[in-house]
Amino acid sequence: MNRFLPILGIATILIAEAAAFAYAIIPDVSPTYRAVLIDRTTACIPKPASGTFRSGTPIVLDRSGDRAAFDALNVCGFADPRSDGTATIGPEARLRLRHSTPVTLTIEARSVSDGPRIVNVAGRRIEVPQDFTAVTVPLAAPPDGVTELELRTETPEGTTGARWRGILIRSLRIDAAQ
Amino acid sequence: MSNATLAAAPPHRLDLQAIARTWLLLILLALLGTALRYGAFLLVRGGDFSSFLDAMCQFDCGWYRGLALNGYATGIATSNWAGQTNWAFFPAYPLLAGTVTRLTGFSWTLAAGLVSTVALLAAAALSAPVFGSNRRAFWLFAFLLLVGPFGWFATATYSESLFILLTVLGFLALHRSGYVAAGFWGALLSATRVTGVLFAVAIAVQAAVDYRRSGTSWQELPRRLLTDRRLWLSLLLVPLGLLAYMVYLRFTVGDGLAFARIQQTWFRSLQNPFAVWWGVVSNGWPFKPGWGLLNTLALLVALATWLIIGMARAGRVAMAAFCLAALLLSVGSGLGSSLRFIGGLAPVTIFLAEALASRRWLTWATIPVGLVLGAAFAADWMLGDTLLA
Repeated sequence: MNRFLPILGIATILIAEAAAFAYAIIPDVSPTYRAVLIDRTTACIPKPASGTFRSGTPIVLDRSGDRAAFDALNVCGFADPRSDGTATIGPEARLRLRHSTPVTLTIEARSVSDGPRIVNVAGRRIEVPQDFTAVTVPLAAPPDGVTELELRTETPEGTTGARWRGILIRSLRIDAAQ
Repeated sequence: MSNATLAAAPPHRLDLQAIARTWLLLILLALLGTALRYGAFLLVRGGDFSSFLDAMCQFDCGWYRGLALNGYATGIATSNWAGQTNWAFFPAYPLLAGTVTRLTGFSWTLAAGLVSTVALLAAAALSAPVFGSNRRAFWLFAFLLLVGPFGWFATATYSESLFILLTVLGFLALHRSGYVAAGFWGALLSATRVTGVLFAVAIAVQAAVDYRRSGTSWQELPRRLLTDRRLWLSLLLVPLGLLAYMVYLRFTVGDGLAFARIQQTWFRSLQNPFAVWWGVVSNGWPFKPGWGLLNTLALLVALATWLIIGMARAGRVAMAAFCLAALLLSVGSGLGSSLRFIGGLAPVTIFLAEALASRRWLTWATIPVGLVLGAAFAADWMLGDTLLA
């Protein structure tokens, strides 16, 4: 009997460790966690954004710009500002705008890659070229007063993961619709 | 086999005076190292000692401080666009340094700096048996650790200092064929850095070496290893630190692998280390305009590999196996922090000290070079350069 006690002890530790390992590696996580860290289909980690903005005033997204003004709209999917703008990361970037009347959103952006990037905004498919171009998107008045706008960049061929740069935005401007 | 080795050893008497003298000299070396780094600070920035400690708090120091004082996040951080969250940092060092911060009331940089300095001091002092009668190598190791190129670990408030101490303790236990004690230190290693779990490789290799030295044939070796209960127990002890952390993450975050998955937010993912290394070397070799920091780090990795091969040839097979496994895992996730990772591998520094102590002129040449590197690395670190980050 004494001969088998150490073996029994070792077997018990082994089983306990295997059980702990099995418990640890099977995740039970939020959809965001799964999408960002497990499936790697997006880099969008939503954060609170108030959605307030000043109509008609451009929000500059390079390092010299008013970051607080952009952060008020930035829900997710934007990198840190560079000297020439802020890049979207992966296929999904989101802005939150609080407005009760129709507005237009003007995005001044260029593709980060050698070729153009295709971005879908508010139901429109836009080809963003390599040079900065201004694109204006009309936004209808939302029933609940808040528009959560998705800028969905089509995944370029040969790209894996969700941490590639999509488009580089130099400025945003929101105006009351004519 | 271990009994035979112990029986052959001369009776060991505790010479308290010699121990006190050694500790006193090591403390003086640590003070010299701190003075050297402070001198470098005065040259590159200037200010009082508190500003110096703050200047040494670079890169991941903020993560360690936040972790030590506020604990682990329970969800992905939204404070940075990438979602970088503190799960990447293992708990042992921030737990220890955080406890000292709370108990003493000192600032984080001072308390964590003290923990790191004491860890390196203890690593140097306790390493003596590993060097046997080679006192010159022992003192060179202490110099490299406390003053020389790796001295900045003492004030950088990173987990490397604790990792070095635990590695020395683990190999000291293995040196005495204390497998279970080695397993215990291995468990703490695996709670300090992810590479700590690879200490199991060192234990398994040392057991094989010990059996071979005691006359076990190659044919008989697998059976002897598989039926060695002490070895089994020690190997099972090693992953306990990592497993405890994984279970904690599963319980709080919902994913025991969060520590590994979050690496992608630092643009690190596990790849073939040979492909990573060759990809960098072939991109900048030889001296193309594209030569950059990564090419330099790739060369340092080659130098470390050469030292590890030398270590194995010199009979330190378990140390070599541990270092090689840890180096491959580190390089596999990118070359970015290679110099820091290599500096954190105590056996590499031990073997380097032995190699440098083999010739008197080399030993003397090491001192000015070590002083210059110690000051230069500290200055580089304080200026926020990414060589050591």
